[in-house]
Amino acid sequence: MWGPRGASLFFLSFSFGLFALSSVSPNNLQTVRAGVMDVFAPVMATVSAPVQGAASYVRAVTGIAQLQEENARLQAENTRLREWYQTAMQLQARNSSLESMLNVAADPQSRFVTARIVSDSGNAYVRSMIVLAGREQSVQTGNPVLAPEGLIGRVIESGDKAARVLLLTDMNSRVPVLVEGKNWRAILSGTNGGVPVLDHLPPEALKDMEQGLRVVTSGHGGLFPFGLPVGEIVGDGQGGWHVRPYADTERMVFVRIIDKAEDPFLQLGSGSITE
Amino acid sequence: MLFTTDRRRGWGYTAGFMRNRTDFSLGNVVALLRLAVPQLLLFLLLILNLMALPIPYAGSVRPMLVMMAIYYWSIYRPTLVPPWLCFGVGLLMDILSGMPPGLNAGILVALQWLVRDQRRFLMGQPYITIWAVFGFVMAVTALAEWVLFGLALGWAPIMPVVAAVLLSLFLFPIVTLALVFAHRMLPVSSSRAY
Repeated sequence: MWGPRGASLFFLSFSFGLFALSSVSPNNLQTVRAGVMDVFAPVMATVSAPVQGAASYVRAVTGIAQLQEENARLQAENTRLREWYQTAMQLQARNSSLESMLNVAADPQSRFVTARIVSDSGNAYVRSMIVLAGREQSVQTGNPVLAPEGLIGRVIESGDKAARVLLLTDMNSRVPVLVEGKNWRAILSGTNGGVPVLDHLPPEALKDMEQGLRVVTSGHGGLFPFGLPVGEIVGDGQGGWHVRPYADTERMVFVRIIDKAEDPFLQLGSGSITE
Repeated sequence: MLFTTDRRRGWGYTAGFMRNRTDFSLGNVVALLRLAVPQLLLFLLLILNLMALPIPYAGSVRPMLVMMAIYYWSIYRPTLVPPWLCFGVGLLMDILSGMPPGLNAGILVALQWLVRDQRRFLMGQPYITIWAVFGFVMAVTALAEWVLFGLALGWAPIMPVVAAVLLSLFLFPIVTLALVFAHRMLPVSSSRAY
């Protein structure tokens, strides 16, 4: 009778030791975690394909009820966007001619990798996911991760073939952001809910804040480049301001991982020396 | 018969039929595969546990599929889920879901221990009691997990945890169907060992 009970006791105390160790210094087991992720990410990618297919089918079926409404909305939006497209083209042309007149320094160019999501957005405690790209695809810890609509998070752990992305909505996520048009800086803090909260807003912002303002990354701290679209302001009616992210993490299959930006002038310089 | 159904002999019988070529029949292969069904099912549940399930409006609420399997086997066939396996599965779950390593591992080991100790009582109970006890056990383990996570890394909102418990309770009969199927795949004789 002592046998199985002894084993249980041993493994129980071992797990709590491990848990205590990992909560005191989370980075101790990083290599082990990255290794396990590398091994299991391809397996999960295989199994997840039919599950994701089924999930998107179920979403399509539950969406049928709103299909007509959705269609009308999309048509209206499409008409509006066509006008915007013309405006954007005009503005782009004007902007580039003005930039060339003023000799504006070019922004550093960023490269990106597109990767498939193999496990979805976490559980009741953590909001993260595993993507099928790692150091072999030059994905590094700290790289920002984008969906087509906007920022979704950053890489917190990268193995050789797979990486873990911490989402904006995770309660341990903090992103320096800027309210566009007003130039208010703030910190976007995840809450494990759908809409992260804006912390450390300047005092004047609390009076003049409006619903629907655009929020972008501010580039402070150097982790995220300036100007990545994040989401729009929503109020909670009690004086707190939240941001609804543009990207819907539940409907994504692929994400873009932005590499560290390279300064174009540095490249230019090294080229001229070798000549 | 060469191919006995005694699981405790481990890989011995495999070597046995490799020596005797005439025994390499489809029947043996099928029998081997049948023995692996519970483990394969546990692995499948583990992978499913890490994914968004095709349930409308579930969001990031994850039912505790692995706990269902550990609970079921701890009652009906504890030799299938020894403490080291619970530990390994829990640790894998922790690492792949981004939780602090050791949290789920400890909880699964404790779950197996507690349920195994009560299995003589639970084995004779009707399904509805098994289900109710599962709900109670789930609530206790989920609360323990929430408290431990909160102490170590900050307090998460509790509503998603409550939702996960309710969803698990709701899905338990569906998962037990698969588990009963896996149970029927196993040879009957080895259950007499307990």
